[in-house]
Amino acid sequence: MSLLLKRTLPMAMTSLIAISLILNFFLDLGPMGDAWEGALLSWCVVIVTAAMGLGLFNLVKLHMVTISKREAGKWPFSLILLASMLLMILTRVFFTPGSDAYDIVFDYTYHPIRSTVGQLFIVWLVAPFTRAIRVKRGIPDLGGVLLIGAFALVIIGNSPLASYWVGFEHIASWLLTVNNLATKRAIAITVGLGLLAMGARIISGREKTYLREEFQ
Amino acid sequence: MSSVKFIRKHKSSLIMLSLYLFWAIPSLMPFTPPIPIKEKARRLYNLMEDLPEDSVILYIYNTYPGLEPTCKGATTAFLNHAFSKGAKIIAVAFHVLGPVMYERHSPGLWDDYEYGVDYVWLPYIAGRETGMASLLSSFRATTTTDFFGTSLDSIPLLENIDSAADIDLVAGLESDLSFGIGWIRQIYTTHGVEIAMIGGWAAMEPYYPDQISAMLFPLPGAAAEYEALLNAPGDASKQLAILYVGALFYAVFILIGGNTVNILYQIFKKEKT
Repeated sequence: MSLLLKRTLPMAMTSLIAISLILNFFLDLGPMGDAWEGALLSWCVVIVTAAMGLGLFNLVKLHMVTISKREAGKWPFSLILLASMLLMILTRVFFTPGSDAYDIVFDYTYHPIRSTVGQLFIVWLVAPFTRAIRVKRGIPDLGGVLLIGAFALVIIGNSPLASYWVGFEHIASWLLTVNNLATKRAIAITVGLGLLAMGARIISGREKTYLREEFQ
Repeated sequence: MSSVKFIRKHKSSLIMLSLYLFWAIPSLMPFTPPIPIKEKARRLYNLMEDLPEDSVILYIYNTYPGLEPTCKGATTAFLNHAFSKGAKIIAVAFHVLGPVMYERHSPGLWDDYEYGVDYVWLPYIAGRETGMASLLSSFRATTTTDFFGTSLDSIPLLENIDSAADIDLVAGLESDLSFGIGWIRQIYTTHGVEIAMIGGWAAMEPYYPDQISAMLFPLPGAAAEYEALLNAPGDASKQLAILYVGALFYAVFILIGGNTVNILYQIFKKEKT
């Protein structure tokens, strides 16, 4: 019974639902097929929303336990997390945008922190390029030179600096739309084929990693 | 300590300091660099100019406040252009922080138009790609109320709008690389609706211009070009001076710092040893 409920039934449901959606997409099963597809999509949205609520509940529970046990080196941070979360929720519930409390919490605290982290991430991405070149026996590595040379040209070609010479824009465009695009298309096609194969494996019941380990 | 030793010891701090000094230049000495208008901005502009009056645009806010410096100018320019062409806008978010951006973009954008008649804000729809598929199949089956909790049936703009069949263009911001391709699957492939990406990712380039009709990229440079086409300089144009010195810094830093100095230093070091 346990095996039927925890392995056979979920696998059968997965296959049947996937096959019904594929049939409706390609063969158009009429109003009944559309209603079935619509219902499934709505259920999915409801389940994901409920899962977010469950996640919030789990987060609060986990940190409450840490605080109540006074876990060394952890509980003050848990306290800060819960207090911050409560402050954000209450501010949004009781104050509207434009009010002083809302501006202090969101505009002057949260948004600058998110923006700073976002922009520092870009600097962090650029930094490794400056170390891309290695010199062996006095000869610089050609791959590294090409990599950072192309990087600099794309930056210049997509910035206002390109207005000084039209060639910058053409070179950047050629690098992006010929060299870079060919690679990206190859990756996109490969990922697409991989997804197709994974879908076929799930529908046929060969892929079971979504089940608990003991039922796979 | 010799100057060479000092530089070697504090090289990371010196690089960051010089970056901040570069960025300080436009603030201390404001200037407007030239704006070369490129193909992507012109294509989006032409798409919007050719859009019939009273078109309905679904504008997706899949972004978060961290990206505001790059996306605000683009959103404001694009949506103000859409409103000026008589388009009706339905804003929606499949990113949990998207609705925060509605409010942040209100001054200079939404506040100038009438809610429920010119535009509507839908709430956050969970489920990412599935949420998008659900909304485009039926608005009312996905959410019964708007962002403020008002019933969709009592909003004049949504009187005859319920699915992708009633939408003329889907536009918006996407901050998630993996979900961006979901736009192609759920909007263009399934419903055949035109897509205009505001910002987006370089990773969307393989789908441009066949599945994506227009793409304003990269930001904020492309947004400044769009503002120039509209003859209405805004947030993006103001950022252009910073972009100008920033690009100059990165280019100089990579070419001089990354190439020449590194090569000369390592050759010199090799000869010395």
